[in-house]
Amino acid sequence: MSMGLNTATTTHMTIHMDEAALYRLITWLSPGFPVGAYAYSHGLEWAVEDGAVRDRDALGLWLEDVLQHGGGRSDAILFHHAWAAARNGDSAELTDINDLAIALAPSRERRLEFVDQGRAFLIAIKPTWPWDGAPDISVFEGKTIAYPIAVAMATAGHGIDLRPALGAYLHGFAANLVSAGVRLIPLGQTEGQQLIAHLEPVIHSVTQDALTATLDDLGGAAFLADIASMRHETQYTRLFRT
Amino acid sequence: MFNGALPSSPTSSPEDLQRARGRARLSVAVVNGKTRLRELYQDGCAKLRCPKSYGTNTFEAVLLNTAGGLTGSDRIETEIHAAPGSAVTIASQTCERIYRSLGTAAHVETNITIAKGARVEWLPQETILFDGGMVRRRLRVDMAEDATLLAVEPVVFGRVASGETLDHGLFRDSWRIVRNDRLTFADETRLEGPLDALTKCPGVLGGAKALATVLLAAPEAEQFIEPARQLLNASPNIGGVSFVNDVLISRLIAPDSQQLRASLIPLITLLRSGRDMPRAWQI
Repeated sequence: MSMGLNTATTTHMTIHMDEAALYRLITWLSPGFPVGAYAYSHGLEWAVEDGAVRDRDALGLWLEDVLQHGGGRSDAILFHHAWAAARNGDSAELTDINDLAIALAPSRERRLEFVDQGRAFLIAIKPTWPWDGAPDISVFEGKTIAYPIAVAMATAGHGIDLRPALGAYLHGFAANLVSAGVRLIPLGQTEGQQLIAHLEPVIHSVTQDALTATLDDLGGAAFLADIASMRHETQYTRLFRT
Repeated sequence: MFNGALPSSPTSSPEDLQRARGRARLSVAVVNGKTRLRELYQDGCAKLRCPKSYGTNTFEAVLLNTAGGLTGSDRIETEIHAAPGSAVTIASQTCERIYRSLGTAAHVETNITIAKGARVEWLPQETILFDGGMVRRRLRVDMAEDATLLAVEPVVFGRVASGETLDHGLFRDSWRIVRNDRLTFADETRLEGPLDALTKCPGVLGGAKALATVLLAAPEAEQFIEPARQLLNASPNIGGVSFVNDVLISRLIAPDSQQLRASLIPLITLLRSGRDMPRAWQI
């Protein structure tokens, strides 16, 4: 992994975003937004325990796989189509995509991090950042909602463009796992930020790919990441819920 | 519909001419307290054999592909129906080989319906992807709430023994389990492009070449979690098991198909409450 080669110069296009959209994305996808993201490691805690992820570079490769072949890419495609359905006010399509998202959870804990963060996100957003019109948030009243679907709904409801919304979601996803890795391995804060910088083009490319993907393009290959989350269920000493 | 995935062309490509088609349909029902064949339909290269199964209440069927492997645009469709209270096990006669394609994928489509109190065991042997092989597989199961499904799909990336490397290939596998008209479980597997490089990735297969996904949807599925976990923890291969969305799901990976079987067969046997593997698996 060649650190330092990746800078912010790989911009594909100029993103026009108003100040309100930027402000809201930064808030909702920040570690401070109360969805409890810090408690979920997506199986990384087992991979560290097992020795598969021991240092900065191994964590970088693991996260590249999770983003490109695992939960990251899958979430991004679901996010894209949920955002579009929400924007169109198509509640039936939105609930179908949410059902598919939950059905795709490859393990008990991956389902847990999906639906617990999804519920927490809606609880946090409702009294603070309500929106008028589509999508109707009450569709998910008393129902389980997957986290990427909840975020897609709120960004669509606030008229935030898909590309920056998706990029912010994936950044939040990756930054949370980097933070988990920094605590677990452990790594220094600088190494953590080197990883965030390293993953920037990866996140751009997953975002780009998801923008043109259909639901038929869903599909992953991060089997060892799936197995790690299964094995984490019975890990003896654990800091993380997943 | 049959040609839905193919671009229409006035001239036949070599692949069009070689295209293999197979359709098989099997339906079983309980007659006088025993599961019996109700309907058997087969067409093209797909054949179903029903060897006599003595001393068991489960009907056994074996799938054969007389085309001897699949390549671009080949299509196999299988339908299984189990009427209330019946039990059927379907195995495949041999491994399914996916040969080099000139650019289009082979399609393997399986639809299973399981009525109240019925049990279907879908136990094909390994699919082996050769260099340049491309396959899209779909498994769709509609089942009653109290029905039982045991499904396994083992896949091997390249002929490991002969040192084959996969420079290019496509493996897509799409599962949908609908219980009581509600989508409860979905799985989407996708490996595309330079498969050797992909399978080496640490979060993908870490250099392993054989993979199996095992699913048990049954009223008593959760009770198998602990014994399955113990079995996998004791295995030299890497595996995990979980209970999610009301199904037991397990993933297992191994360096090659032989080592995969060493862990997979005990796991399937456990989930079949100790019954031996279908005969086709034992040869």
